Amino acid sequence: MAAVLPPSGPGLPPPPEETEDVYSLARAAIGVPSDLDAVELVQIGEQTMELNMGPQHPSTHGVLRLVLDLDGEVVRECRPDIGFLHTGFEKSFESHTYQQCIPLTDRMDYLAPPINNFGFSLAVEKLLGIDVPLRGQYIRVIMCELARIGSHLIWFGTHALDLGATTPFLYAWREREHILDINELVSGVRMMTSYIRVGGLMADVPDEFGGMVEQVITTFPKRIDEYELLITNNPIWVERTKGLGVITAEGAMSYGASGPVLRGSGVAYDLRKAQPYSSYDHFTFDIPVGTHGDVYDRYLCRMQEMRESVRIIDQAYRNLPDGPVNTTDRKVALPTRNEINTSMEALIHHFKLVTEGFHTPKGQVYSAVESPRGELGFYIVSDGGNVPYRCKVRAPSFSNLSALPHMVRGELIADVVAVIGSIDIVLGDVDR
Amino acid sequence: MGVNLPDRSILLAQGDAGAIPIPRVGERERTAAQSGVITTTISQVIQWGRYSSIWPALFGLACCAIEMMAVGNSRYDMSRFGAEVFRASPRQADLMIVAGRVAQKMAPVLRQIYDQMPEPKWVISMGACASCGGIFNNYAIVQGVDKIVPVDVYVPGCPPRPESLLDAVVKLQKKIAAEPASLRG
Amino acid sequence: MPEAVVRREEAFGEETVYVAREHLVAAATLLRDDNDALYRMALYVTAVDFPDREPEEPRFDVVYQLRSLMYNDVCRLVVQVTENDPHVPTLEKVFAGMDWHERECYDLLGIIFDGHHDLRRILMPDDWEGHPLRRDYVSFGEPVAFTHNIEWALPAQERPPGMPGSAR
Repeated sequence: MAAVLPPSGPGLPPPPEETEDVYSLARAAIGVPSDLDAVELVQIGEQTMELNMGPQHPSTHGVLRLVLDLDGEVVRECRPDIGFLHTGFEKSFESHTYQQCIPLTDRMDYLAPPINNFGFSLAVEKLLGIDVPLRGQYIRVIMCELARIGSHLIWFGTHALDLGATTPFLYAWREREHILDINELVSGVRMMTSYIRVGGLMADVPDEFGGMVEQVITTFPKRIDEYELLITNNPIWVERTKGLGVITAEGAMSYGASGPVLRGSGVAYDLRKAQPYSSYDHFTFDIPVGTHGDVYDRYLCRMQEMRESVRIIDQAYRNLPDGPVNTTDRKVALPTRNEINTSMEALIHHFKLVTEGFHTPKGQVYSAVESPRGELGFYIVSDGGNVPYRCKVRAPSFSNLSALPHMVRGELIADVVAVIGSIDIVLGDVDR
Repeated sequence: MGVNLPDRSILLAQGDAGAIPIPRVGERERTAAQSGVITTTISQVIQWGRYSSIWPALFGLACCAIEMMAVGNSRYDMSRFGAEVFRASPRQADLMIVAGRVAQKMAPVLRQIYDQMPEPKWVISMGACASCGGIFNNYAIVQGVDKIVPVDVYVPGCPPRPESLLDAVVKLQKKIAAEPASLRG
Repeated sequence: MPEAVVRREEAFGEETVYVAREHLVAAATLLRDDNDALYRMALYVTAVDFPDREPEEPRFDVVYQLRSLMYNDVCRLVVQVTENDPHVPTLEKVFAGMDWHERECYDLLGIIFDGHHDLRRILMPDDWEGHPLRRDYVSFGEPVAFTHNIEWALPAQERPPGMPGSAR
């Protein structure tokens, strides 16, 4: 099958250059004179082999199919085939009320579900023009940063497992269990919490929340040190990841890559700093940026991001204000039990909100949050009803994955696995 | 008593519908066991071997796959039930845990992987999406993986708690123990 | 580029610019390269389907969103196309990321991007018929099984023959 190459032009990443014959190095090493092509005699044909790294594969991080054109072990062209997890979220959104969409959003980027809830809630709150009280905002930040750590832990465990290190996998899950315990404490569910809703939160946090968050704050930095001790200066890791899967800053921007893929290439852009939402500007934290844009730099970025997340949680928890967690706008958030018992209007609001949901003004809005993978955006078009007319999810992994063919051209097959791990894709995000 | 018999009393659980009527170990057997002789049937021994070392095939599709990985990890350890070795190749596996939602594009792949597994093979349908389509009642998701492969155990939940999946594996073990062993699978 | 702009709207703190289809590529290139704008990151392209707007107004709003990292800003461009002529020039030569986004838009909504090097389905199976995200595409699932239609709860092997999803 003829290779269909992507277009090239100004502003786009450069086209794949003609790499020299892979065997010339081998020939020079054995001392074969160049006119006597002993190696060519052994080479079978000049065609590339098409290899299918099928949807069921241990290291594709979900159901991703890659069709690789190989020349020996060198990848000449890579064509990802996605859609094996397409769930039709955007169609489902059109038949669920806004609050009913929240549990649906949980299941898109399933490694960090609260962040999907957060993004959707922010978009709808922008459409409605309501504010969440400060306590609600701080708790949202804590839950999201915990989710970010959880997601990076999974990335770390699976990425290391792909490259041969089995211990980090077990270590990462051991820490993640603490985060899932906190999720379960506040919402009752380990993973798909649906805790962050339009108008605030599901409910205020129970008393044990403080103790568990404190335990995370005190123990996690040491744990991250443990992981770094195992991996960061490990000669096998460095050898396998340095200089691999390079993407330049212009290439990353052109592909729409965001998150650690973009930051690893040197662009210091993080939505939490650039367009602070939900009081992220109250906290001081840094954004790790890489220089080479290779797998190693992205790894370092994410490890440092875990530390920064612990820092944010620390600040948010220490300064957690008192007050309500939900907005007082009774047309959006459910009234409290007290109000329902005493006020007729609150009862009617409750009834209306549960059966029909709230109506949003007509219009279109785009709102983005920084997910562990990059820019997770929600574009909601409303026609004045109680269901979104059209909700487009801008998934970070979709754009990050479209840069994969560019990153693996000329690498070996084993390196393809490393590059996929470093992009940190979630197929639920890619396929929606 | 000097010998540890395989404690078959664990196969009978209180209130477990469909409990397998395996006779309890009697007096004569206990005496014989003290001199190192156990009586059983070949079928039971073969099935005991099969259920004690189930090798799951890696078939994690979506969110349930994360909980499946959590089951394999240190807190909810699945290897104590013999099912630790997750084989990447279906040819070396005997259990397919369908963990996650099956999209229309994935359905033929699922069937192909199932066909590649050698007999005897079992299927656990993990989670609501694999069992019945879950919360996605739309064009893109196959409404229940039992439309494609025969399922032995269904696990509800979205995603099911790791203990639920462990319970499913244990129930599957009881089911295997109750099946007559056949060398053809 | 004033001749490209058909109209402007502003709501919720965001600006939406409706452009004419012919000037789309030039407008996007300008937005990308102009030193005051530098919208170099392509976020997505999608379309919104308003089937009730025909025949007075075009049915589809093809929406592009671009982000400028330098000036920390997003901008939205909308091109309106009708159902009978859902053609839009491709932007994949301007932004490399538009490649997959345009394929997804074609797959789910049926917007055809002229000049795309490889426009085929990306999320649905290759032989799928229909464009799922259009408003007139009925998303079919399964009815919920109660006692009066309990057959819907049975697995494929046990369903009565002739029923959808039956294996007999």
